Amino acid sequence: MTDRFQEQISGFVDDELSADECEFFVRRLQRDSESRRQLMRYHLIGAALRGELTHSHPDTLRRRLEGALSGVRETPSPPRMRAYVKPALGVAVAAVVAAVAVLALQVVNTSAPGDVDAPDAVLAGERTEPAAYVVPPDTTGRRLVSPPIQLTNYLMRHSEYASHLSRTSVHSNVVATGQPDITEDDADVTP
Amino acid sequence: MRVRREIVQAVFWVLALVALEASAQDVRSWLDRMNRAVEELNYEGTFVHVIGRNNAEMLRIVHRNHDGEVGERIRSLNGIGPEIVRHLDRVQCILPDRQVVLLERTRDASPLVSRLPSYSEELEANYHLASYQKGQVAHRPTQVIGIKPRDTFRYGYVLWLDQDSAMPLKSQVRDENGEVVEQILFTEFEIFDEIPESAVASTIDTEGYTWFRPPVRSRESAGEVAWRATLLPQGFELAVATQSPIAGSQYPVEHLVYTDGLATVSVFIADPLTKAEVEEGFFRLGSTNAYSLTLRGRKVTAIGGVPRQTVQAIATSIEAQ
Repeated sequence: MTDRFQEQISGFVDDELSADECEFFVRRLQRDSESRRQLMRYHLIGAALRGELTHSHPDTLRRRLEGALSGVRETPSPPRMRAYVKPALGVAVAAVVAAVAVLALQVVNTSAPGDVDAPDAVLAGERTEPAAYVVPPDTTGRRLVSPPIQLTNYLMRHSEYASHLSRTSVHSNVVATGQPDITEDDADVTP
Repeated sequence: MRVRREIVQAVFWVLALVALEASAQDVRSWLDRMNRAVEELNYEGTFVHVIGRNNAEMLRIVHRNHDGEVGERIRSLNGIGPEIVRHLDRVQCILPDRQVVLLERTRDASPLVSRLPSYSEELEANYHLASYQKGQVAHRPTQVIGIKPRDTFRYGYVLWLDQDSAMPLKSQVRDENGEVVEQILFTEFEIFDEIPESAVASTIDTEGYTWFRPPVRSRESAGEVAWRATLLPQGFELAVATQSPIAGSQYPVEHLVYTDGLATVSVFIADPLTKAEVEEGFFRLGSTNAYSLTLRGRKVTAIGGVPRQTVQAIATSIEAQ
């Protein structure tokens, strides 16, 4: 999520956007599915951090959102008067959020069983070329980018020796953040 | 009269010390319970993983323990991202963006390794342990535990442990200034008697993916590593020293594990023939810091859930014995 879009979401939620900015924001949501997905995620995480999702099963949340959505459908189209633009846009955005969230939660509740055994695919450990790490290029335009293979390897190996608490933390970081922050070598502290 | 006052003061301090010791013992007991709960229970939950103040993701964890056989799956609820699947003695890290699966063996259950972490009295030399008021997370009553480091070479923790199961429903990693570096907060959590095996299977179709797994020809060998850190923050001791294969490389990597009983730092010393992919300098993933440099032609990388100065201090002090 770009800082600008995050600011727009935050501004909208906090009712700090002007009417023009609101219109622009909604137009972006209408034409860009990625933006809708990001808004949904922002909405869910924010609700979670505020404790509003506490004790919620996805089904419960889905029902709640479906209820909200059905209410929205009965809302008349926004009037031309500028004073009413903002609340109407809020309803529209809520509807978009609810719709996307419902779809997302349906996906969440559906898990296809898989097989943890390696298929008869290429096993890098059996390769003969001397290059130790073959780093495949990114083949998709997906947003989440995983850390370098070797670093991920080290993280996974390290997590096996860390406390359970740290292991969950390391795994969450690999799954959630993907790309590590690379920082300047500006510290030189010895114990 | 004066003698009586001194007796009262002495009794007060003795009682205070006893209370402190009881509190620390209580915290250690909670930590032991937490450690067992995380591994032994069957549970599912959704949690928010927050790094710093702005970066947050929602993740889903399913953990299964069927007659001691442990399976686990962690994945992001934010579209297609990496997924980690643990099954018996294997851990898969599936990276859809690279169409790669990393396969690792879980650690040996040797007596030495199984002591990690060890919530013994020695922990208190480096951390101040305290139990606080009771709280509530995901509508479940919790006991709040505080672990505060006594120096700047380790992080502090605040844990909200489920009163019934001791599961950490909320945990914060804090830096030396008390700032939250990383936070995990369950928004939904449920314990089950049984969880089907299919619930911890991968949800990603890995057909066509490249699988990286350690070569099977060599075995892990303990105690044969000739490298050691010569300068360690107080309390850190060597727990494991192995030379073992690692996924994606035909050359073994030397792996040293240092721990103070709670925090763990791994040092990887790559074989000189290994083409190093990790760049030199600092890396950070949430509360996990890494520092990499080249020493005598070997790429040394230290990784741990500790501040950056700790990984740097340990990595730069590595020497051949």
